[in-house]
Amino acid sequence: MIDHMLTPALDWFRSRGWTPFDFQVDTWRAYLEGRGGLLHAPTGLGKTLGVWMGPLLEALHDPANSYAPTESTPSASGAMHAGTLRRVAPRAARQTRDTAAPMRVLWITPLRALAADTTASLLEPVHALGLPWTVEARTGDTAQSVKRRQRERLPTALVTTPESLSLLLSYPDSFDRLSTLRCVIVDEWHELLGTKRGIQTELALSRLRSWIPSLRTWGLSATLGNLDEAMTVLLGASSGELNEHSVTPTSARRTIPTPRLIHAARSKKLELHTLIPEDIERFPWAGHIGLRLLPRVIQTIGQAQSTLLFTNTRSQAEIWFRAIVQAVPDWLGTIAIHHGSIDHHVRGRVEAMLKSGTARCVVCTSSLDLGVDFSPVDQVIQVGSPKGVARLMQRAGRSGHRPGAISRIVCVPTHAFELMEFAAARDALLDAQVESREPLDKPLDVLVQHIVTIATGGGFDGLALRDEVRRAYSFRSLTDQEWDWAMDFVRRGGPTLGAYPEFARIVPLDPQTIPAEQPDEGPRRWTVASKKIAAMHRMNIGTITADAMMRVQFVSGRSLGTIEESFISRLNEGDVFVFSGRVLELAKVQDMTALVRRSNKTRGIVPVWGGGRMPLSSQLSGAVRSKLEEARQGQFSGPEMQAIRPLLEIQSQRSQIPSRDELLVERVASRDGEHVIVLPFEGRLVHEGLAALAAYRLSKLAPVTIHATSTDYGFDLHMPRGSHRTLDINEHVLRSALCEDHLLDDLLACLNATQLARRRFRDVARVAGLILHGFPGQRKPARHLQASSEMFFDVFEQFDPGNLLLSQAKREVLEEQLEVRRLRRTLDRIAGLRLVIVDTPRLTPLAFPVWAEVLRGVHASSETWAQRVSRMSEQLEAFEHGSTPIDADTRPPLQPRPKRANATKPPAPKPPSKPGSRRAAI
Amino acid sequence: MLRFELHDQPMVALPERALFHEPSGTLFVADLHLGKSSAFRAAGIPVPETTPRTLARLSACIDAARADRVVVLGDLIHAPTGRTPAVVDAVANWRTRYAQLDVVLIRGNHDVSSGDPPSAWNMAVLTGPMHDTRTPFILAHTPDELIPRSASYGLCGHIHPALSLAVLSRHGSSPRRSAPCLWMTPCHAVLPAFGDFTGGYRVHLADRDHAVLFIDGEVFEAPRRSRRV
Repeated sequence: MIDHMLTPALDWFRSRGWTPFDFQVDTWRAYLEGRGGLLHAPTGLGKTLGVWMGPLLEALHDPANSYAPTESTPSASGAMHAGTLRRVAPRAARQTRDTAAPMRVLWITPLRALAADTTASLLEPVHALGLPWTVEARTGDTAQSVKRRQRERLPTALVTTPESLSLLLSYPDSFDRLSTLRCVIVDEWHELLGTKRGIQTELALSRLRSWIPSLRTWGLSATLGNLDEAMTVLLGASSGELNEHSVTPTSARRTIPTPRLIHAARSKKLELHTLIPEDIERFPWAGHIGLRLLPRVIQTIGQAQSTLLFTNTRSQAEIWFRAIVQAVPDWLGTIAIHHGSIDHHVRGRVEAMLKSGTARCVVCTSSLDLGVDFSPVDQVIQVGSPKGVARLMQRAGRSGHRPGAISRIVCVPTHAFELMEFAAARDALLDAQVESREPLDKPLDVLVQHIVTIATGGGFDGLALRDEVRRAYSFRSLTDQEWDWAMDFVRRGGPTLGAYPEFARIVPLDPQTIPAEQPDEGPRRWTVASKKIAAMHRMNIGTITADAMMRVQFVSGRSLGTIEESFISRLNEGDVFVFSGRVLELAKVQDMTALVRRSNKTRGIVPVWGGGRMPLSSQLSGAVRSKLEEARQGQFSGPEMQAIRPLLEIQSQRSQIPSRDELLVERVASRDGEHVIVLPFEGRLVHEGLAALAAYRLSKLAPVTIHATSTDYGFDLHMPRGSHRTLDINEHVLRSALCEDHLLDDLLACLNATQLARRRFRDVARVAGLILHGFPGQRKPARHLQASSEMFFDVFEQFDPGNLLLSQAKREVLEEQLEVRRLRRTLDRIAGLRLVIVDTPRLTPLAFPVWAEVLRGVHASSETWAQRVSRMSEQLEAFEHGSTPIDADTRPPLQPRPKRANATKPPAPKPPSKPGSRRAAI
Repeated sequence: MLRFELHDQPMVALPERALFHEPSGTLFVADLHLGKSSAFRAAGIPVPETTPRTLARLSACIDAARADRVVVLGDLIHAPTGRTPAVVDAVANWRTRYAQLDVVLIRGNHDVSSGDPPSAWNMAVLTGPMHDTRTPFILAHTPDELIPRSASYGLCGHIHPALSLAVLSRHGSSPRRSAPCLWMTPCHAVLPAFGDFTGGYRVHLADRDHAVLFIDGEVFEAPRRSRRV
């Protein structure tokens, strides 16, 4: 039966001269069998048709549907099987809204910029098969007129974002409007997994499944280390294990066939090349800009038709763009820059250039990791280590974006050891060792938002919604206490009755029916408190937090994009900075807009954007450790390892190359004190945690001052000379500093976790609806209702310390910012390693980059912030009066105004033979 | 507590973010924003009630300094929706406990929209800028109102000044954090916001400016920018 249902699709493929891939046919079949699932396929392999054809084929054979292609449709002429399809009159060129089939498919995309292209590519087979379907997008960008039309009747297939889907659920008639839905397809699920937007999607899906038990969910995902888990998360808790809180699936759920995980067996061919520096001896050992290879990169760009040049940070993109334009002025007009802060219209223009093939080169960041086909792109350059295998695959896949084409990526090292990272990345690619995305565990801020969304969308029954929420994988372990807390929070601000008078977001639907003596008993229906609250909530649905951003705009009025307010606030009028590929002078700041004019200077400050630095992933760091193991055994395979061989030989002479079962620790005495450099190769975030932990624990053993700094390879514990008696860091001491006991307590104590959580609270406050983006009829909330997340944090800490949103912020700091799970695994690994402590007379090549990182380090201290400021203040007074020289380690002191943030890092330090002027020679 | 001289007047900065003028027994506070959390709650944003605590802090200042007069430099009540019965009663009760105290309010922008305090609060309400009768200062809500009259030293509030600080060393820095401050220019001083649910506006010190910092219940003089080493 199903085989015969597949025929129209096979015929259509044949008519275009294509042969369907096995995974496509498998997916169609699975869909027609009534299954949900996850399709794992890299971009450019026809995954869209893989999931989209199923619903179309089903519609073709739907008895309720009397439409079929006709011979007058040229593209479908081969698809005619008179016996299987009823003939109807030639279809209208365009389906009108009223005659089109009812709502059938929801297509969720993480990028609203993708919605238009997706709609177009979904329409193609619809037209070819002659289906009476309408396909439309609905995102934040959709015109009001279209949205109004959609309010009356939804199209057959709706392309939308997680935010717009939640918004759809917030209207009281959403159940009626979505009741004919059969399938939800989530595109780029790997992007949503592990994020709050993913959680929002999960909760919305759980809602839809309660309404339509036979709903099929399909996801599309690029390669991940945990695809099985990714599928379970997408399909909901009841598709996997049930826990004690889970409810028994209804009988309708039980009849759904098991979901399928389908792999596109043929993975895309991927080639990784590296630009090997000619003179490795003079190539820097640390640094991250990499302009030294600019001439070779320009040559490489010149050899291809169209190149995407990926950098890891927006500042690096700005620097590279300026450098290329200055080196080859002729390319002006065919070379462009694209990153997340650049104006939306400018980005659109750049994307159009890429699509039409008129762009010679676009310098970009992860802003172009995802997205539409840029078929003309035939080369991808990656500047600096990609830090993760998945990211490398994703970026490489942006070239040869067509089934069967080879993806080629050229890697450009910014310092010598990145050669090793590239070699390691190639190995990891071959072994398909790709990072996992860990799902988040029941973030209550998203739940709080969801409850109000559902209350706004016609109300709910308390217990039924609780069970429905628990069917979302991420909330499978939601306890009754947590649920009650969330309900109390939106009902009256918190669990303490009367603590929050005047406040209510949700109210009982029918308060009269509740006996006054037991106001909290029993199941009950809830609805939103007022129309005003409903309108306010709809405007604030979503989980994306933006930093406080300032618009950058020419005095003449043209907008250039947005930039973090914190960067602009450090500039004075007349200061020159680089943004959107131009050198600009700040004219003045007005409201939330920085007015600028063109500057005729050639250089300016490059802004640093927050959160740009990714740590080396655990997969890639594992691969780097394997490369070192090979090098230790004298194997240097591949051009990268050959090139770096001289450096690794210096390493062997001065110290040694650590083997897999060793942890290398190097001790160097310098004029400024003793450095202990520990090299676990586990990624920067883990090292930051380890370093702070070790510094804290060591300073408890003896009265020493320890400064800690870290990189992706290791961390440096520096005990300055003169200030104190130094501590002999031997194996025993180090082991006790790196043991797993009291890990959480010690971490929280040494990293000033409250301060970190205070910053983290911004996201939580926004999602939970404390900070509002807009009020009905106003762009910003009324002035008297503006408050920063830090104010909320402080007020809750003081007046409502049991607020679960506070604990969530703390948990997010530990899990996401400090990667505590990975930290624990690392400590566990270290416990099984042999400690090799080597005293080296000079810094070794492996130790140097760690040492060079001094300026960014974490200062471990047990003093409170107030004590430190006060102490600084006293020392300054003393210094001012010339009485005592200030301690060399405490300057420059407290600065009410920061030093001009030259956002670029100091130039790459040279090898220790020519020590930087900041430091005395070692 | 921090004793210092401001325009030749002996002053005390209290850690609760208040300024005391000893010779006249006057306690200066600014920007109480009473009822702010009620106003938020009424708009559907859950915030715990902060007014009792603000009043308790004010009492602590008055007791510690043995003040017999309090001057509020504007923004006593946050918004009309903040004038809930609970807030009105709490202040009225507080006022009966300090019945002998003189309380003066210089109207601020929020007071204009919220209306003058209820009569039960027993406060004298004035519009700045004005010469204080019992201290040598000119009083106003905003610094802008003070600028044309530079003959006497001005005291004001309104901008909730804060300094952004990071303790830097060669070996790294603590995360930046901003702390409320008393910001003293050569011609006027801007008081920090006294209220509990109030934010700070980051200010930059000019060369001749001084500031007093209020961090976690401690108070000390902030180093000036010119001292960068």
